[in-house]
Amino acid sequence: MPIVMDHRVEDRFLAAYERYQSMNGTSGPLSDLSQKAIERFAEVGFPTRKNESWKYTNITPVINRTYQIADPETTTVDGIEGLDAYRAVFVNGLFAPEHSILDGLPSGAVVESLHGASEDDLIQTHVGTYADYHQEPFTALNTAFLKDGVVIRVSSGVKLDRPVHIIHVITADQPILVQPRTLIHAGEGASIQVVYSTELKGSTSALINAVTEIHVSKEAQVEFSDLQIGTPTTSRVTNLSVYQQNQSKFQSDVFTFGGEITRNNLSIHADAEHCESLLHGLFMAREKSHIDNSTFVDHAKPNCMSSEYYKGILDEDAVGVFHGQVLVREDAQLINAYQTNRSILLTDTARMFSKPALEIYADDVKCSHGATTGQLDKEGLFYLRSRGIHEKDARRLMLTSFAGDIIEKSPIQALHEVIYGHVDRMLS
Amino acid sequence: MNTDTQYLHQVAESDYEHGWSTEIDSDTIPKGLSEEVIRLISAKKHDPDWMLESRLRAFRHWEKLASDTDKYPRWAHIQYPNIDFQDISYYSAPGNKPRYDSLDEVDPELIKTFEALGIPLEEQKVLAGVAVDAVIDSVSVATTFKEELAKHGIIFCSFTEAIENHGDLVRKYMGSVVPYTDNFYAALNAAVFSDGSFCYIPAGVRCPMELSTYFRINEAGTGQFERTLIVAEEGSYVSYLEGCTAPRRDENQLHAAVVEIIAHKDAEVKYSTIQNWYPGNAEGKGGVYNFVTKRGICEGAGSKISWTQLETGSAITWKYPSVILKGDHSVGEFYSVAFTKGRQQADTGTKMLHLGRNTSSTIISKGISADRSNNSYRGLVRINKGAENARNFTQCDSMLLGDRCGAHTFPYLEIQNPTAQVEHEATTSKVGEDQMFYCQQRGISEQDAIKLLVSGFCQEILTQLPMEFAVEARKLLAIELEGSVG
Amino acid sequence: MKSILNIQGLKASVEGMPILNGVNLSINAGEVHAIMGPNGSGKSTLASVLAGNEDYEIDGGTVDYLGTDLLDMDVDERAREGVFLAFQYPVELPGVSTMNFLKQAVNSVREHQGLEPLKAAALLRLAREKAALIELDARLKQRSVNQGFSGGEKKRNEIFQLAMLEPTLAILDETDSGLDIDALRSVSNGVNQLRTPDRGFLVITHYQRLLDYLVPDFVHVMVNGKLVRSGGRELALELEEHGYDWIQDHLPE
Repeated sequence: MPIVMDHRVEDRFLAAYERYQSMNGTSGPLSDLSQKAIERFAEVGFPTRKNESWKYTNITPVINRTYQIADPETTTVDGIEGLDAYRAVFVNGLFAPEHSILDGLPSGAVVESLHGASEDDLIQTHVGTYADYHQEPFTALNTAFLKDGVVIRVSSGVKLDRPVHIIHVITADQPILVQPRTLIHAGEGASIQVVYSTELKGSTSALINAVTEIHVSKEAQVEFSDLQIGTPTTSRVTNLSVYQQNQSKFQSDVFTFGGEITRNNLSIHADAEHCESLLHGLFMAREKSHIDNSTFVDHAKPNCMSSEYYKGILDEDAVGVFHGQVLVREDAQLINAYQTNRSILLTDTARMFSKPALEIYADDVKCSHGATTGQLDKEGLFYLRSRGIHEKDARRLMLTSFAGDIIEKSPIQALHEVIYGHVDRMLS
Repeated sequence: MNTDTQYLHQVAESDYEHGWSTEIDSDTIPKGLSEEVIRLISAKKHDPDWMLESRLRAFRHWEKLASDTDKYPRWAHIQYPNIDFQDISYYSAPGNKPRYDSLDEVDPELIKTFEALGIPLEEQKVLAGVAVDAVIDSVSVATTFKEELAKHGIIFCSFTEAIENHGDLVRKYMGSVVPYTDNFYAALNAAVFSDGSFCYIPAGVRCPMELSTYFRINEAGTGQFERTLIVAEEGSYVSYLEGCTAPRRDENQLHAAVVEIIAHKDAEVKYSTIQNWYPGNAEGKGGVYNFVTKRGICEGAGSKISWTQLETGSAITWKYPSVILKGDHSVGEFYSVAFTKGRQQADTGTKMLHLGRNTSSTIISKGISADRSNNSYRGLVRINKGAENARNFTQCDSMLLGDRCGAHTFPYLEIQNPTAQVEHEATTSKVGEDQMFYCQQRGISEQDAIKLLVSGFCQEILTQLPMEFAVEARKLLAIELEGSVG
Repeated sequence: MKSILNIQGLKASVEGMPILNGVNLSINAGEVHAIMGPNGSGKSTLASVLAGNEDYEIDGGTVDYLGTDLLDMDVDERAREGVFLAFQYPVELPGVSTMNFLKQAVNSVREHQGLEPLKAAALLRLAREKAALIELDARLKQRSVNQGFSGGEKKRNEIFQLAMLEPTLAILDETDSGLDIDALRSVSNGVNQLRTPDRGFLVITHYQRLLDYLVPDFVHVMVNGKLVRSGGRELALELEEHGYDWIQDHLPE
């Protein structure tokens, strides 16, 4: 009888890393970072539910599967209807210039592949600086396998006239692991909107482990819209890390529909005075879909404002998680931080776990949070029905307006209709 | 000077009022914990066999937990060095004789202790109508009003007497709400507890007076591990008060208590606590580690359990009085004021576990942090699958007095039933500048204005306390504020 | 006549923005002065500065109160010395009972005056008496200070406190705003009963109608942080007729 050794699931990823390195070479500006990241990953391994921040999300079944890291194949790109935007397309994580539309970018704005980016310095300084691979095992894994990604650079004072749409196309006939990487650098007073979406071709299962780093310089404005339409066989872990400087403004609008397991980590480090950070999220799930939004706002300096608003609708056997943490550090006075989470459960088997936490070490602050979970408002429903509206339509109307609160916060009009469309499909 | 301010004055000078220790003979066993020690405690308590077995079961479980210091409970927002459990004495009884039949037998020094504590043991205070069980170090030393209570069929006695005289009841209920497997300190308590209070209210009886237990750690190098068990039969009512103090000592003392409440159909139990264990000095030296497991079960339909607490003491407080809402239409309440100053750390809150239909719970928590202290609310609201039409309302407000303290809120809302209505609100702020200006414009000094506004902030909770206790609570709060504002 | 307040060339700003640009005003015992003026002219700022609100920076000028420098005193000191401000927007003090609040305030003032503190019973008696004076609903005394009070109840409560504290200088900041005509009449009636030969009043109002009930000895008009016209009762009526534009058009260059 042969002796079977039990392997840690992490060991498979470590072995894959070795093979990946020998294929792709170990030189280049980021190889050092990659090496440190894999060492860290080997040390900490994947999170389990014993880890406080993964208490309500069990990622183990997803990482226990075998995935391949596949090269891109020829494919097509759908884009978002009605969205007039510059377009950067990545297929299985690699930049695909033939699908990208970047003509007409104003001078001072660059959208390019991380691999062979024009400014090594910028890459060296910023990649891996905001997304902390020490803390997050998934970020460590992404950083270890870092080969390509997108860099968006907007020089000081440049304001982009149209959003930049980053599309990740994933195409494979075998289960696939894709680890997209994005760096957005907005210079002083620059302004940019980014739309981030994923398109899945083929019916195989996929694990997407995305890391995005955003540097918002003094007086710059960045808006980041993340639109994810999941399938029952795709799981996704995202780490979006934002670093804000003096008088900067950052807004995120995260829309998540379905997917097997989704974990959106969003961390904001407001490291200067007079920063404004708006975090909006809408999540809708049905069947056995599981969506976990975990946010962390770190107020390190005084006179800043952050406002967080997440809403969820959970149907069938779906599970929703909201974990919001606001940290106000010592001497970070005059902070206004707000956090709201509202969820609706549509069935007996849907579940919602909410954990809105405040950790405060400065006294002259105004911080609050609110969370509610319940059913649709019965009185509202009755009112609509008393006007002759069928119950089904009344429910849909109310749920749409519940979701609309978040949708309307997106500054990109073209997205509204598209997202309302997804809401409607989820409700039918 | 009116009496209030005199009182304030005296105490402001002495910082921690109850910081003396009493010179009385005591029977203290050597430090350390082992199976022999468990057997020794059990022998001293004249335990029946089933009790000894129960202790040993708990001890074996605890030993497993304690064998790996990495597994010590660390999830709370508190910091302290690992406790050396072999450096604590697990049994200390005042006097050579561990039990007293009447007050005359009690060491006069001990009586002075009670007088200093304001415990109404003597005649005139007895008229105040509070029945008291007092636990010093590990042993219950006096229970008053036993006969009066007995007329109503109410049993109120030390845990030791309960084991001896009401063994069936104890066996039936002890560990039924907080089993020894519940957590690290519950296991430790189940193994070494030496006394505590037992209270049984028969069906249909409304307890005619407030029942009260005072706990005091006196001896150096000892821990206190008491258990309280309250059983309220169908349709009964009891209001139970608990107060705690400890002498000022430079070393940390461990208090790991367990409180269990069982409320049957339509019964109501109101449990109020004023916790004023020695908090350590301003630099954080000394003070009591207060690791307590308190839980009640609303077993029957329409029952109600209400926890009210004023927490001002202890170096570290780790405490979550909880309610399991099993019976349909049962009600759970948690009202709390936690005040921390110096280097105190409090991680306190509640768990409301909704199992039955139409159950409802209310959580109102007020945290005040001063100096370099840290004050956290940690609360769980779980609506189970079958808990149709459950309701919860939670409000947690934190106030910071000074810019070197911390106020934290960690709520957990787990909703598994769509008919639930769960609302959670929390705010953190300091005393409002406009409110201060308003008070000062009326001639009130800055310090008095802060005290006035902070007391106002806690008012909602203090009104939940029984009248006499509320007076004491207000005084205590005023004293605590005196030392930490201005 | 005894001088209570003498303001000379008072200048004040908030966050670098000048609001008071040299105010001169003198109030003697027994006098009622009214300051009128358009929104944003600095009327309420003057009230706040006199009370000791630290949000305002004093940029110049002097304020003499009973022979001492008022600007040198903290807010609670001024209050104990007898300066009372009836707030335009009285703040709510959740959980702070009205009687407990009054006890602290009244006894702080009494202690300062070298008087024995009032005992609970005496205080209650006094409160009952004063409440009747201004027709304050007795139930309001049972509640937390201003909490859940209507606009009118809050204003009435301010005058009630004025009556309890018996100040030397009473400043009424837009006490008429938010009052219906009945409330206005009864509040004014209360104030009129508090007019004594040794007390001075500074009444700040946007509208003339308060002055129908609370007849002032002097009326001043404030524009851009200065008192630009002063006169008797008739000035208020003139303003009522012509509006504030008229005064701005007729400013001396």
